[in-house]
Amino acid sequence: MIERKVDVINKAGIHARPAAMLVKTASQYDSEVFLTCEGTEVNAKSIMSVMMLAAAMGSRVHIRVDGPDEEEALVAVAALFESRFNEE
Amino acid sequence: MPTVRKKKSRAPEALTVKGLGVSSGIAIGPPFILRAALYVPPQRKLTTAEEIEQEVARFHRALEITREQLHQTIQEAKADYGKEYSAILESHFLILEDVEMIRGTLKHIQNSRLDAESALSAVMDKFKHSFLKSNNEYLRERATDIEDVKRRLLGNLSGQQRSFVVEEPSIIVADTIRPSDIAGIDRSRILGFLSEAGGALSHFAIVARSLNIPAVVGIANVTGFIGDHDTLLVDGHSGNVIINPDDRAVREYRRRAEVSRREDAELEPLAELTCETRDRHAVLLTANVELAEEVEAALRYGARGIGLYRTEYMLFSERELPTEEQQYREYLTIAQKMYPYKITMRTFDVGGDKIPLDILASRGYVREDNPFLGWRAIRIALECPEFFMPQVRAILRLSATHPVEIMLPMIVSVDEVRSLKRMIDEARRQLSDEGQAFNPSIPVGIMIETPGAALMADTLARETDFFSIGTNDLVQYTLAADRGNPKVASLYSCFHPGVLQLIRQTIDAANRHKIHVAMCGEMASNPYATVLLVGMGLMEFSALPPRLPKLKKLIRGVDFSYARKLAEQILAMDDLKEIEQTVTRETKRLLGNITDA
Repeated sequence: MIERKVDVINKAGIHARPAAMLVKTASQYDSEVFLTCEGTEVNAKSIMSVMMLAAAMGSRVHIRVDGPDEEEALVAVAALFESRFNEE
Repeated sequence: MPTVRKKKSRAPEALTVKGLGVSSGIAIGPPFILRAALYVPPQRKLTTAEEIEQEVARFHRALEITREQLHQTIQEAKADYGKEYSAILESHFLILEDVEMIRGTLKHIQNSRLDAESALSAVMDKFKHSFLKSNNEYLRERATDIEDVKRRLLGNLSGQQRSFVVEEPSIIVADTIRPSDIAGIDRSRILGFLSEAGGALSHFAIVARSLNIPAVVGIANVTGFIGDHDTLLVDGHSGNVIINPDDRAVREYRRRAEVSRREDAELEPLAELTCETRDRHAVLLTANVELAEEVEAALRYGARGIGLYRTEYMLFSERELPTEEQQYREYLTIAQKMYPYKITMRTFDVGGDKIPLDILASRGYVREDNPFLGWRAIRIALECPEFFMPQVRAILRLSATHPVEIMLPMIVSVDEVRSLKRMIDEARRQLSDEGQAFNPSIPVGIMIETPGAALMADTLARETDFFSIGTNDLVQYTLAADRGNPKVASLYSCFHPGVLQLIRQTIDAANRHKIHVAMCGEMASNPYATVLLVGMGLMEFSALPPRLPKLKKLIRGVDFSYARKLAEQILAMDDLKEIEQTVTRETKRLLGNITDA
């Protein structure tokens, strides 16, 4: 299992489109991907869970990945945050 | 919103709710409530491992079917609507693939031993409620997406059919009443209808009127506040619905129902009499018919033909277009029952609020922002010959043995008429080549239901054998008001002077060119309009069968010369109120002891 903390730096926060991007990216990997924010942890492959988390999203998100391809998965998911979900 | 007025009464408390009456008559009885638009079987506890396995398989199968359906919809949406709409559907796709939703449902089936429907509903509702509780407005709105996907899935789990058994005569209560619902109930067990959705022109309202079953629509949350053990009183004329009426109200309405039964009995002998004014001006009374079962009633009420045969119902029972042979057989059944009287057959009039999705989607139909101004009726026929030609061929073949006519709906220009006539000629050529018989001079007419057609009536009259004025659309397009929308419904009146001018132009053009002119819209069934229309020179009224005796009483009670003068007076008026007062006064006078509705 590996973890990383990322900042939410896109202006709009996590809305529908970024949430969908997260789910689509996470779903490409066999590993389990979890996002934690302000004490709530959700499955990153569940759109409804990610959106619920998104609404309460603060500035910092904790990514936790566990599985055979965890390295690649973590890099891909973190890259979305770093690229501000291609929004700007 | 209906106005709700509480009445002083003994328990259980009487409650009067006002909706829109779309089919008159009075019904008193117990409700039969179709709880949701979607039939969901009652919760079931699974007992055996096999049952669990079965439910798991059913759930997976529903996921697969729904995925397939949604995928197709997204592809179509992308091509025709661009990114925004397809993004919403994509989010539905993501909900459908949501691992927590799938896991949660499987867990409920396997561990809590619930049936697939209940398990899925529990999981989806939990998500939905946490969305709804959010203080983020955007998220709250997304709850409808969850509900939408849930319904798609439930539909594929249980099938779209609502299945239920109405055991005693009841008033059917539902948020929406679909044609398939009515078809599934024994007629003698339907006392009345009460629904939240549906306007006066909805399919079910039309069927309710032709079957003479009282119906009221437009009552918000109707399935929510009516209980299984309530007694309902439905007045399909005023739109009043009384829940648990007191004895006095029941007596009063029973008396009114008795009066209308007596009137029916009084009007009945009229069915046999000729339809002409006192000074012998003959008027043809025909019926609007959709189903073969209605023909008998139409004849009993004195119809001398069918002035509007709606053929499109055939498109709603099948996934694909009915073949020429299927159509021929169906039309023959009706024609035999109506023989020797004529049948005016309107070619498929779909689009607007009547969309056979399976059939249209494969021909490039996409959801329209403004379906009443969209791809409708002959606009589809012109683009898709396979939609039009088999129907025309079937009607032509029928014309060899029965008096039938072809009527083309939704015409706006002479160009359309010419193109369609070329297609009809082509069908004639084909049949001749095949050695099939048909009537070479079968009348081909058009509906005048757009202001554009009414204004071009003179030109159109040269190209056609008859006109039939469709007032429902003509009024809505002329006054730009949807009668189903309570905010603007009051603008919708067939007596608006502008509408009357268009009708006059149409009738005058027909008279000038010596072609037949009929009316098949709701106005033709409206007793307040009868004398006015006779005076304007209308030759045929195609109406709801139960209305025919009343129309005949009006026509037989008046002189044509008087009706003409009255029409002239009314056409000179510019005030809608004055027009309505005048026709009301005249109608009441002529009907005497018969009530006006």
